[in-house]
Amino acid sequence: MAEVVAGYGVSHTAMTIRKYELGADAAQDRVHAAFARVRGEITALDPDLIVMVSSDHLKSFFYESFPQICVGLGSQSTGWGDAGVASRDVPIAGDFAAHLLSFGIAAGFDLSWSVEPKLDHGFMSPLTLLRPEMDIPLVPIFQNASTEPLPPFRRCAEFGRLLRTAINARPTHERVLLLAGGGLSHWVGTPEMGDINVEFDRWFLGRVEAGDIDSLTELEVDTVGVEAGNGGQEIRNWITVMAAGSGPGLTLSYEPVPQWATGMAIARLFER
Amino acid sequence: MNLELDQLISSVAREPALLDEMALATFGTRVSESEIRMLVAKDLAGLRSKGAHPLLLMQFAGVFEIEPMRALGRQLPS
Repeated sequence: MAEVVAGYGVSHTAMTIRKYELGADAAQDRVHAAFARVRGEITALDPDLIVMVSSDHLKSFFYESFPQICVGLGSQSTGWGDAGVASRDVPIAGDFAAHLLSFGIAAGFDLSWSVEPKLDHGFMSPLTLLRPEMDIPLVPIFQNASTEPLPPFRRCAEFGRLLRTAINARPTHERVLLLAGGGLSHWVGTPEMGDINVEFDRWFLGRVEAGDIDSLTELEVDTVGVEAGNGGQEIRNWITVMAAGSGPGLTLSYEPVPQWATGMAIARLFER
Repeated sequence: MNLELDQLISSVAREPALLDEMALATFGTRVSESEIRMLVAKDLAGLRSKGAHPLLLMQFAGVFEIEPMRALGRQLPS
């Protein structure tokens, strides 16, 4: 069977790339150092593929067809080149993606799918920092974190557990890295843009470190919008990956970065 | 949400030249004349007040090189 080798959560703001100059700000340097650390860990883990749960920003999906959870299929995707993150080609682990989709549907999880969807900065910003070679095949999974009605956090955790079961049911042996993109607190395109709720972010990371997914699935969607901003809704991607593992996580870096208008976090989301 | 306005903002963000056409003709759309005026004026705060999607406002701001935080009313250090 396939094997989950690790699960990480990382913030995905494009400003990490677009508005970064080495040595200009100590907090920003620490964020980049943490990304470099995870980049090294991923190299050492040597995964066969990455299953990445992140969110689109109305680039690949719009109102004519708007999925809550969508699995990307095919053989290759391309970045949008949006928000100052360079466009790159990314190989898709199409066979594995098709397995996740089929398994999910058979299990009663009504997933959407898209063939070779383009990837915006929600995917490309972390991938550029964590695997600039773009040589590890990807299963992109888009989870709605931007447009109401949003899925409840309980459902996001259920999807994570489904992912784990589907990976374990895979007959071939692949080493799978799980990666969540987004968060933590930030407000995008609203008058509060620039605010960061450090208290909320530290509470959230405390739940990650305790492996306490129950407290996270009890969160109300509207409450998170108020406390952590509309961008904070992306914590659902972390919750999905958390639910795919077990045991406590570990915060590798947390920095509220006002210039990037985001509570920037990088963490391991479970032990195994 | 303001679905019709969002669709128009999305179209403009993908094809900015549409904005010039809107300045000349407001017919053929299902958004109000005041919303069209806000679009042409690149009035992010006004569009926000009409229920435009925040992520579309960011796309719109990016295309027209508008600093979104200031345009949305946040006080920034000069």
